[in-house]
Amino acid sequence: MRITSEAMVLRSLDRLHTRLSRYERAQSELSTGRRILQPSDDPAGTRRALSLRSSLQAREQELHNIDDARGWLDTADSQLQTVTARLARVQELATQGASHQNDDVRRALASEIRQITEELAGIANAKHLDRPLFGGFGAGDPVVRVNGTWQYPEAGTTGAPDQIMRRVSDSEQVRINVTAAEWLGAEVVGTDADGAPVYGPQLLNFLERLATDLENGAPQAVLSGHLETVRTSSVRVTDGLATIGTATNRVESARARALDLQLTLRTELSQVENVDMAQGIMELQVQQVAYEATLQALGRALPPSLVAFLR
Amino acid sequence: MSFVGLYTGLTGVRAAQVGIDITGNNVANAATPGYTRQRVELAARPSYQAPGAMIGTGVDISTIGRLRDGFLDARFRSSSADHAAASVRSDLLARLEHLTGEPEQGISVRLGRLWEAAESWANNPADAATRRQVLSELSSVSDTIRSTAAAWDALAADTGARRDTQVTMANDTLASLADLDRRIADMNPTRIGPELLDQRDLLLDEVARLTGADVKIDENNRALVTLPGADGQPVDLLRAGERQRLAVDPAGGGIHVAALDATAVDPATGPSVAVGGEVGGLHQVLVTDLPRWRAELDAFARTLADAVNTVNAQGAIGNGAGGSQPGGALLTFDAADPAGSLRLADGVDVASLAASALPTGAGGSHDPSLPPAPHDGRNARAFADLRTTKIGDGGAADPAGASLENRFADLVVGLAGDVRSARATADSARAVSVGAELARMQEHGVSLDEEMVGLVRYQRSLEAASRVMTTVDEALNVLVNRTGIVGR
Repeated sequence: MRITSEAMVLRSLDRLHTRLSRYERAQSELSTGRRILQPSDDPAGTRRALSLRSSLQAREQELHNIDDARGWLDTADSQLQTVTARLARVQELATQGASHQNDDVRRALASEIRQITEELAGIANAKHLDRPLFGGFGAGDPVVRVNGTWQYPEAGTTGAPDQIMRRVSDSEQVRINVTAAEWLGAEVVGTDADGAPVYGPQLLNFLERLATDLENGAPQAVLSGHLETVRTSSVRVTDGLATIGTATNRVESARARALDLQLTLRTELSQVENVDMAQGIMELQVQQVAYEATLQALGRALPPSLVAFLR
Repeated sequence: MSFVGLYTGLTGVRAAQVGIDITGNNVANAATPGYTRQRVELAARPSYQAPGAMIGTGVDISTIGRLRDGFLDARFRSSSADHAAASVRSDLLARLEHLTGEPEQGISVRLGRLWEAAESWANNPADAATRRQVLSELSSVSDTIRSTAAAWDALAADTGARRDTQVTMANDTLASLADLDRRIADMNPTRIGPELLDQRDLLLDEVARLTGADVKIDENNRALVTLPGADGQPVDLLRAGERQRLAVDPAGGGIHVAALDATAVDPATGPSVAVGGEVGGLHQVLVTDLPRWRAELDAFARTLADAVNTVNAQGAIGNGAGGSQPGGALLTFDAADPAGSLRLADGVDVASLAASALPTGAGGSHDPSLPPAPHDGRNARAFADLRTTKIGDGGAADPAGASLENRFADLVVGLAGDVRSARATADSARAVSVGAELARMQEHGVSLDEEMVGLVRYQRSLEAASRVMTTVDEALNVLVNRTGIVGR
């Protein structure tokens, strides 16, 4: 093959260009720490990276949701625990009232029951993060007293309860609330202007009746019947607690899963996107040496010719 | 013994001098683009009948050869046209990809933020801050889509301008070529300088690189430039000095061959041709690649707007009279250019986001007199679920469709695949073209070592021929002046 100086220059430039672009590539991979600088560097990897990153984002949001859900569930749980304790006290008081015939004692018992009623109404209207804890989708107080009778002012208290959900995984949503009607019960307390029934919290109105009956010295049979009602009310509250407890368990296990997945996704994403540092440094070194060697080879090969030799 | 020997020596000296001149010219032009190395072709002069033998009479300079190989030229020209087309396409697609900003700063990141904001909103539907966040992310997504579309449009406009410039340049080159070709044709064939031929070859290279045209020198030593026409029949751009020009049809967007005197208004009268090279590469990107990806972006913008609007219409917002109504459109676009016009609809504010489900009356259907429940985030949740919800082209949920996220990822990855294959094509075209150029340079180029050897050879040859003359001269001197004076 005939070698001409032009051809040699062209080929040398071509080789230098190739070397330099590989060197530059190794250098930018190492300085950014990323293997995929443009989607076209690795389209399949980009597809994976995009979906992994979005999954990762979703898991992070789920962890936020889970923290938020825990707040709601813990608050509801502690409020309902208080309710259970108070209902135990009501049972005690009612039992006492049924056995004591002394009017003063009964009045005292009635007054304590009224106090407890107020406290339970307060719990029913409790707020969490400025939202009614047991209010479902509504914004106002779940229970109000109108003319001495407890009522649910919001519509929809008698149908399916409002369910506030939190997404805790791609496919799973957990209900984080119980409504006041679920643990207070509902009963018709009157009719509105249009003749439609108005509902009220059964437990609160019952406690009011119990206090009144104690004050009025109702007969033994009536009081014994009330004891039964207190027990069924307790069961409703316990059901509410159980709902909250189950949700808490689901949220907890979802958190464990989300954390686990997050770690796996991070590892995978890093494998897809990131440069293996040791390998990257080696690669840069190799490319640097190769580039310098090319330069040196050119430096030695280009100038000498017969012209220089003959001089 | 006669004067013939003296003359023989003279022809040797002359040949060596010409040899040194040609070598000098080769060395001087070692780096001249398009220069073809030259070589003196020598031939022995006719012999004459001397007593006892045929004796040669020296050397003749028969020609000064131009060492050009037409096959290598053709190979280089077609491969350089392919390379020009492929590298233009690869560069433009890479720029298109670069303008998406993926994977770090593009639409996918903004979309991710939008779903995050929507999820916070679903957790806290009545909160004005989370609603504002959703709106601002929604507007940021549409801004990004719009600015990507605008950047792509600017690239398309640039490419169009560049193609038109290159068409003009091709026409100018063709004009220079025709001019030079005529001058060469008008010359006495024996007086054509090799540098003119080199110049013409250089112009032919350029025409081929720009247009991918088939170029050659015909049997009459005239330049011939043809392009394949629509029916596969070659269309002449330059034949026997008759020149046409290339023109871009402003309406149809095709490239045509038009007569020189045709008005610029209607180039479509000339036959349409398949142009390659740089002009062809630019043209192809302009009429196929750019519109295709722009349409994909449009489709994505439309689906995004439809999906967001569909979800919002499934939820309830206040109707201003204490009741509720379905949410209105949040995003709006011009159907003629969805990606370039996508934005928040007029009058959209935090109250336009439908967080709650439509309140139902006794019959189970929407009762407009009921207000939306303030803490009902069911529709906000549906909005946040758009991240993974499979939707059809109309924006409604459709199990056979793809999620917005996947739709966009498909766009990005599809474009990346195109860029990658275009780059691979350009790389291999470059290797072929460099190979062809090398092969040509090895044949046509000047090798300094070779020229040095030639120089030494001609120098020696000159010295030796001079010596011959001296020797003959001395011998004649003896014959003329010393003969017959023996014993004097």
